[in-house]
Amino acid sequence: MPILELPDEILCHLLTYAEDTDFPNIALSCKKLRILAMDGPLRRHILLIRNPARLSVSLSSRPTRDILASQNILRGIHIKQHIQQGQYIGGASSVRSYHISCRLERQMVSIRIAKKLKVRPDWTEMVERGLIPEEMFVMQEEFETKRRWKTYQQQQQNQRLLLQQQQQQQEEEDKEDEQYSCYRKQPDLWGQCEPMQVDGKDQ
Amino acid sequence: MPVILVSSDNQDFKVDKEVAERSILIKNMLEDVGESDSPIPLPNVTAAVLTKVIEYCEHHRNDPVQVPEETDDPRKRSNDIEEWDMKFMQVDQEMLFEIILAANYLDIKPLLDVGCKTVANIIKGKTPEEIRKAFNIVNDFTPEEEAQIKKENEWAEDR
Repeated sequence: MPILELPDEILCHLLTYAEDTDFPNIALSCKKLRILAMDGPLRRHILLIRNPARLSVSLSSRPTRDILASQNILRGIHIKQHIQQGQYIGGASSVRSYHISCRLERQMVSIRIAKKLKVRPDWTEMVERGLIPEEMFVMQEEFETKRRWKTYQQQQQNQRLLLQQQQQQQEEEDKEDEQYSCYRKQPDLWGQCEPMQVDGKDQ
Repeated sequence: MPVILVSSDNQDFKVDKEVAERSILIKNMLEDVGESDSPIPLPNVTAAVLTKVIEYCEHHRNDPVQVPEETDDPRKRSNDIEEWDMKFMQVDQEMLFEIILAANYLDIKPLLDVGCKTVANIIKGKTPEEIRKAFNIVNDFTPEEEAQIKKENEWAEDR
């Protein structure tokens, strides 16, 4: 007859004799024993009645609120001051405002990081500048394609710059043209007339 | 005055009333029935197990009847088994569980407790794998579940 065929109430009774240090192992042996070993009243019995010494020892060595706050386990807005003043620290509104402040802080950090990331030089550039050793990149191919892509981008940018410069020149020329437009229109008129004259000549 | 107990495989056991009354079940039965020499059938207990149980009751025939307060001793320990009981419990697991079942059925609290303590002693200090091996338990956790439980245990132990 295997142990698991014993009725649950006997297994439960049996577990009240088990050492509390054995419980994690019992709970890991199989599902049925896990359910029985995790039984609430049984754990209460073990902690409060069977072995109250362990609980009282660990309770007396429990850190104070000050220590918990300094270790950042107990958190809140101005929590140290509140503890020193002996104020109640677990109120619903204070918890809520703490969460809001946390969210705000996270948002600020994410904004700051996003800004920094935008101006961060590309890692191919960092390799070129010797900030990161090239051997760090196992995927040499990816590195190469990225470098090629970057040079391509630079070329494009140069072209764009050239175009812009050309456009600027053009605009400047246009402006100059506008300045002298009154002079230019007249030759146009003359130009329109000229073909007629030419036509006439041909005929 | 002797009492006759009949095991599930129809074997008769003649025992002293004092011995039989270690079992609260039989004690109550005798009180209800009154003076009678008709045999008491125990359909849940085989002869082999009943022999062991009677051996235990014979040895403990003069023990004081446990007071309820005493049985709820808060500091139940698995290592305070009497030497005789310890030797008595040196049986194979099959028999051990049968004795526990019979003690439960016959309502012999000290025997049930000794049996449970013996099993707790087998578990003591063993790893989950060793516990499984000791009781022929199949590990029905998936590797993920096992990892998850281990993680939870770690967290609890860290404190």
